[in-house]
Order: sequence, then C-alpha cells, then structure tokens
Amino acid sequence: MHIAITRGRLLAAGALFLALIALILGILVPPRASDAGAARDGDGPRLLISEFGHVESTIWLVNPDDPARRRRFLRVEHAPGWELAGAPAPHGDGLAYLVLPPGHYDARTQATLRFTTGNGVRSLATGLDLKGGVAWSADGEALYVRRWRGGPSGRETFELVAVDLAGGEEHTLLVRNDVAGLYPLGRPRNGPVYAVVIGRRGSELLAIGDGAARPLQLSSGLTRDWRLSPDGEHLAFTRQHGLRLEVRIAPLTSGAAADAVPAAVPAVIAPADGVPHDGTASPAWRPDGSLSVGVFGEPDGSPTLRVPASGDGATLETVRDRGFALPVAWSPAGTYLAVRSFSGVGPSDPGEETAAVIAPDGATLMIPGNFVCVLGWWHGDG
Amino acid sequence: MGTASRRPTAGGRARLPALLAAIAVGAVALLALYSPARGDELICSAFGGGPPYPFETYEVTRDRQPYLLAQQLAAQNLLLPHDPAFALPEVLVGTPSQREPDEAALIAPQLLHAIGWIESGLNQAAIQVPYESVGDVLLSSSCAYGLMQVASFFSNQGDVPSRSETLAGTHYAYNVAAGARILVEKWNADFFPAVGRSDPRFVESWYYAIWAYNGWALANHPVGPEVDPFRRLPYGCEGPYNGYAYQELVLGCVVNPPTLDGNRLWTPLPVRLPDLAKLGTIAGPLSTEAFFDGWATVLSASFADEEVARPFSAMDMILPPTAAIVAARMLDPATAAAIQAEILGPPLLTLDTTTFELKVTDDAVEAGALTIGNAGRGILVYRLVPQQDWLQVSRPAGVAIGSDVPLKSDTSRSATVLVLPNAEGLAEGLHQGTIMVEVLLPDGSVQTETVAVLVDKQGVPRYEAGTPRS
Repeated sequence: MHIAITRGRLLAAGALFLALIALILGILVPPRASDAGAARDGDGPRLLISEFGHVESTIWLVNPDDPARRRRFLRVEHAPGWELAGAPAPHGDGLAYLVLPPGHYDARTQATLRFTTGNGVRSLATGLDLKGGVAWSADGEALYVRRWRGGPSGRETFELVAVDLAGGEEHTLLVRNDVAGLYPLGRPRNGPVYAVVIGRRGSELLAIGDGAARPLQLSSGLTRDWRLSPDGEHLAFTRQHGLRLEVRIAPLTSGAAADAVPAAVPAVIAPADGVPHDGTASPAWRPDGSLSVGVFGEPDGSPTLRVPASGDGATLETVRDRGFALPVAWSPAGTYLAVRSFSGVGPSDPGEETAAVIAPDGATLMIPGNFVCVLGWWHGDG
Repeated sequence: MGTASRRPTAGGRARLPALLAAIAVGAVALLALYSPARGDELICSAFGGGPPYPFETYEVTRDRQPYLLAQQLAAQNLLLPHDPAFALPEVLVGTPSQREPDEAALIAPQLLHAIGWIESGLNQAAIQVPYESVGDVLLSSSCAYGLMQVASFFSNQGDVPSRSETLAGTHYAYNVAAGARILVEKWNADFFPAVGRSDPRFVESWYYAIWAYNGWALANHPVGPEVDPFRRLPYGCEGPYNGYAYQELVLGCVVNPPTLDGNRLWTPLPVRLPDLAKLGTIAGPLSTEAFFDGWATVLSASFADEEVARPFSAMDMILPPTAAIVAARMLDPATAAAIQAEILGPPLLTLDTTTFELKVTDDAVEAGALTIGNAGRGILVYRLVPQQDWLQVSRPAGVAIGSDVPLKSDTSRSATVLVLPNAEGLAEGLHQGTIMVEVLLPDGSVQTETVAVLVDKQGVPRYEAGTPRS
C-alpha cells in the first residue's frame, strides 16, 4: 500500500508526536515538590517554610497557588534535633532566624541569631535562647530576642535583648529574675517594645520605653500565641488552662508606653451561637485589621473564624469537613492564609499535622514535606 | 534518623605530635601556643563561677555500642558498683510518706539511652572530634559535660579538677555513671513530686525525675507556654525537639528508639503518658498553678531560712491507668563482668620521667612535651598537678588509649601535653619544679609519677658589644 505523505499530514503527525511526549512526561513526572524555579520572586507572594532534617533544615519559597511548586531558599545546618525559629522581616524582604549551630546542645544558651535576604547570611548575636523566639520592630530595623542566664532554681534570669539589624549592636532592654518566662513580641511603628512575662501572678504584657517597663495584666494564668495588630492598637493572644484554650483581644489604646494600660478587659473570642467547639487558638491578623482564629473540637471538622478587632461579631471564615486548622499568617494583601492543618479533633487528639495554605476560594492546599513549619511570607503582592 | 555525617575524618590530631616534637627540640616555643583547648572565654556562672575544665576524651565507634553497653551496666549498678562517687544510689520505693531504699530497684536502661540521645546525640566528645578518636569533651555553654551532659558534678573553679570531675569529664563510662546517679538522686529527692507509689519498674514513674534531670523549670511543663499544645504524643524521636517538654522527648525515644543505618539503637519500651486533658486542668497535678505554688513555697521558705517538706506534693499524680510493669532485659553477672572489663581495662601507664630542661627569657619560653601512654587495655585517665605556681600544663586531664580500643589509624594512642613555665615574675637563674602525673585507675586507686622540670631563666642581654641599647 502506498501512502502519500503531504506536508499537512507531516505537521499533524509532528504535533501529535509532541503531544504524546508531553502526555507521557506529564504521567511520568507527577506534580511534586521541585527546585524547578516555579516560584520566581516577583510573581506574587511566596510562603517561607522550613522543612526539618535531623541535622539540617531546608527553607523553601512556596507558590501558594500550587504548594508543590517551590524553590530552595536556604539550607541551615543545626544541632541534632533542634529546628530553627524564624520570622520574615516586616516588609517580607529578609528572614531573621535563631538556630542552634552544629556542635552545640544547649538550646537555652547557645542559639545564634542570623539574618539573610537570600544573598549570604549574617550572624548578628550569639548565646541566645532558641525557645524565646525572635520578633521584629515594624520598621524592620531591630530584632528582639531572649537571653537565659540560668541561676539558682526558681530564680532564673531572663534578659530581653534588642539587636540592631544594620550594625548588630545589642542592647539589653530588660532583666527579670522573678518570672518563669519572658517572650519578646516586637515593636509597632511609633510604639514601645512589647514583651510578655509569665509567672505566678499570671501573664503580664510589658510596654518598654523611656527606660521603664509598664505592665498590663493579660491574664491570671498562662497565655501564648501573642500577636500585635498591624496598627499596634491591639494584642490578640490565647489564654491557656491545661488543654483549654481561648483566644482573647486586648486593646492597647494608643500603643504608647505611657498609655499601655487596659482600656477594657480582654474580649473573649467565641464562634457565633450554634457552632459547637471546645476552644479557640492561634490568632492571625489580616492586613485589614480583622483577625482569623482557629476553632477546634468538632469531630466533623471545625471552622476558622473571622473577627473584627473589637472582638464582637465573629463570623465563619472557612469551613472544613474534617480536622481543624490553626491560622499562622496572612499573605501581605490578605489573599492567602497559611495554617497548621490537623486531621484530629483538638489538642488532646491533634492527629496528623500538615502545613497548608487556604486559597481565596476556601480550598485547603496541603504543602508537601515532612516536619514542615511555616515561617511567614516573602515579598510580593497577594 | 542517624548522625552518619556529623563528624569529620581523623587527621588533625595526628599532626600534633610532630608539631610538639618540633617545639620541644626547637629553641623557642611561643606562649601563644598555650591555650586551653576550648571554652577559654566561657564562665560557668551556674556551676562554680570559673572557666570549664578543658578535658580531653575518647569518642567511640559510630554505632555507639560502647555507650549503650555502659548505660546498660549503669542502669543495673554493674558499671562502677564499688566506686562511692559513681555507684548508683539505692532507689527509694514506696508512697511519698514511706519511701524506703530497695536494693533490687533499678533503672530501665532505655531511660539512660534516651536521655543520652536527647542530651548529646550519644556523643561524649565535641562535634569536631571524629569517631574512634580523641579530642575535646562535648561542653555546653552552661558547662554541662559529655554524653549525659553532666553539670552538677563540676565545680569549675579554675582549679585542678577533682578525681570525680576528671573521670566524668574524660571517660564515657564515668560520664554515664554520673548521669545515672543524678537521675536517681532526682528520683529520691523529696523536693520533686511522685508518680504513684514511686515504683521504678513502671517507666511512667520516672516522669518527674526525667523532667528534673534537665531542669525543674516552666520550660518543661507539659502545659506550659513553651510546649506546643498541638504537638503529637508520644514524640516519634525523629521530628524537631521544639515544642515538646524534655521528659516527653526522652519518653518518646524510649517508645520509638532512633535508628542508625536502619537499625534501632535499643529495644523499645511502651510508655503511657499523663492524660493532660484531665491532669492539666485547674487544681490538677499538672496545672501550672500547682507548679507555681510549689515554687512560691520553696522561695518563701528560703527567705525564712527554712526547709520545706515536699513543696510540690500537689503535683503528685497517679500512674496512667494502662501503665504496666515491663521487665527490662537484664544482663547476667558473667556477661556484665566481661563488658565491664572491656570498658574499663585495666590501663597501664607508660611515661618518660626524664627531667625537662627548659630555657626561658623575657622574650621567649621553651615548652616541653609530656607524652603519656597506655600499654594496657581500655582508657587510661590521667590528671596533671603542677607543684609550683609557675608551672603550667596545656590540659589538666585527658586520656591515653589502650591497644584493644578501636582508634583511627592516623590517631595517636598516647596523649601529649605541653609543659610551660610561666616566666613572668620568675627570677633569673635555675628553678626546679615537678609535675605530678596521676593515673585514676578503675579500682579506685591512684598511681602517681613525678616528672621534674628544670627551668633556666635567662636575662635578656641589655646590650651587645659596640651596640649599647640604652
């Protein structure tokens, strides 16, 4: 049989062949985490995550529309077992992190504070407490960390240390040996430096400025997850009694040190009537000044809430058919919400944990990887 | 999980003898060569107030078997049972008001394995020391030493280390024994609360003793602010430590031992953790209020110079309902004795006691190199005690390795220590001094040798012929 091959048939066969190759490649190469340069800077916001390894963690920039697409940002060697604690700069153009370097085993006294824009890494301070975390000033010029000095049993000494980003100079802002814990929160624009101390008298917010530390009683018990609002006018936090957790908002009035007194009793955040729940936790501020709060306790899935800064009128933000989600950070324009997603019911049975992004359409997009921790957002509009 | 690539290959130490020989035969050794091995800027504020001791120690094979065997023996008090400083104290058993010593009561070895893993990754030496090599002891900035990160054994006064300090800082077996001893001391102390009838056969009973081993601090409170309420329990022994209480990390690794090359490092034991939803509520034993109230009692009593009985008794808790006695695998006496002999030796000192003759001027100091060898087996622990203030040694204590102990081929089995006269303040002329070399033997005895040092302190010529300097 003779078959005449025309130019048109040749082109069609070529196109078919190429399509077949593309199809095969598509089947053989499943969509998974890759270094493929999918998340180019400037394409929109990128989520900074850390993927833990026993002696080395990898920091990735993740595309929130497709979390399987990611680009490696940094590898960080660390002491066995200890994950870094990081916080992106307020403008999203740098990352500060505390790490326990290889060869060290004391997370409370041997952590190092580093800063990177992705182009080299600067060491800013050493001898720090990894467990105290790192916080920024809103202008991106200073970092706040904790130094633990040990001391006699029951009289441990904590120092709140400010580190200048440009020059690396350290300033000890506060020394306390009458508390069981001290946690830096950061400094809003034109506001004081905030920190929380915890002890037998409960949790106190300290507004530090002009050489004085003015206290604001947050709770007679423990608190955690402290988040300053973008305008510095409110503090959201979680009140904790055992495994009972409850988000509250404290107004800070003008935010100035002299005015850092409670304008009102911290408001308790609760879902609207009829929404069953065991508790709320992990508040995250939206850029518009409202708040997202995780709810847990419902076997058939717990929602997240959206709450105005006043604390009144919580509404459902996302709904899940299983598990629960704890907000971590909103993207710069409030488009995507990074969360810790759990398959279980609550703190007594959290189930499997996965880092995830809640997309604008409400879909929960899981971030692949083992022991992934969300650090925050990299620059770009969202 | 493993730590296969954490250490570099051997090499650095092999060059040291050649360097020291050059110094010894050369005319001058600069004082700059003398520096404590590490930690020379560190001050141990919580334990002594002085600098840490720059001990040298031996790092075992990558499989950690010698450490695990030493822990197995220590848990049964078969490692150093006749050494008063390192024998396991009798474990107190019974209800809080009626606790009695029980000779038969022991530690589950897995507890020591897991504590060693969390404290140091089961490493006695600093990270730069290769496996099967000798080098600086692992030292934290809070002055905890070695495999079990022992801190309270050490006075850190800038003085000559004591016998127990030297042994715990240089030999892994003594470090393990010190760690086991500290754990039992925490268990026995009335200061800390009790679990059930304080029956050590229940691994769950060790919850508070393990917490106290790391520090009786809020940071380790299971419903405290530094512990993640949404962490998954038990800890799987492969994820980050962050967000867990110390005792949860240890007990998690008891349940889920770490693996090396696909093999578990020890046999797992089941552990039931406290029900935090019930016990962590207000007025519950694991509420933070009970913890703070206990500390308030302690601190108010210390202000009044009083002792208070069981200040944290409100934290006493019952055993988890499903907890069960798990018979830990115990070594038979013959096997234990064989392992003990393999770990401890005996070593045999070799030492050249020829007098050092060193020249010193105001500009330069000649150093001698003292070589301490081990013609026996096991690890020889030495301590150097200069008898004159003007004599210094580069390291106060260390180890020499016996022929039966695995060692990298390019690593010396002998220890070499610099001997340096401190010229400042020394009058011109001949000075005779001595250094006592003590070998701390496994039977508790001390073998002492003396090395004489003759120092010729020479003045610098004020002028040379024809060229007056002043």
